[in-house]
Amino acid sequence: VFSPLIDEIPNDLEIDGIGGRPTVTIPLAASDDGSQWVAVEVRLWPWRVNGVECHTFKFAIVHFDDAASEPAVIFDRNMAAGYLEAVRHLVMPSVCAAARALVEAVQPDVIYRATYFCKPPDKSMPKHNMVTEAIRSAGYKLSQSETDGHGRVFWVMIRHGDE
Amino acid sequence: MMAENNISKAKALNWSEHTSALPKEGVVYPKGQDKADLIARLRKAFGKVKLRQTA
Repeated sequence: VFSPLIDEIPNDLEIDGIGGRPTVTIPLAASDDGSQWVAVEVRLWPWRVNGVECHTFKFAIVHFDDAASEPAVIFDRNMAAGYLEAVRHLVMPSVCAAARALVEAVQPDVIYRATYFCKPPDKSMPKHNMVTEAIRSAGYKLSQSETDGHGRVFWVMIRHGDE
Repeated sequence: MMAENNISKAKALNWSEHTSALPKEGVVYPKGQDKADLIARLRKAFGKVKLRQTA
């Protein structure tokens, strides 16, 4: 059983890896004996593709068993569900707050983001739209949003005013 | 100028052909330095929570 560690979005989000792989890690819950931790990790990591310097935005649930020292980074929402019962309502607000903090700190030219799932269900799109709005509110605009050859929806956002 | 050039190239790119940075597995177990970095981030973040709880 996992108990929540937060009841609201922390207002002191710390960014690790500035200048390298910028990441925000937000603790969400812990097992009752304190040996297992659940966090959401939000990443804005550099990526170079066909001569374009961009940053890829990803988020995942991280489960960590302290005794085994074995972290698992979970991208599949169905596989993460069992860890999130008490904190599910805080996940997307945390991701959006971290997105704003990361984008404002790094200010990349181009941000690339895609769904984990191929052919993502319609019901999952509101959460992706929340992330788009969070990045938009940090001064970016949508340049491309399509479905790639694998059926993944992707978004390319560029810094407003530089185009 | 460099940013404008980069953004121009980004706008011209067919992004639907570039998916190599995406995770393909539902769960990833980091190895080596990636694992060490992740554990360090987790210990730091959860350490802050413990400090807050005991304050």
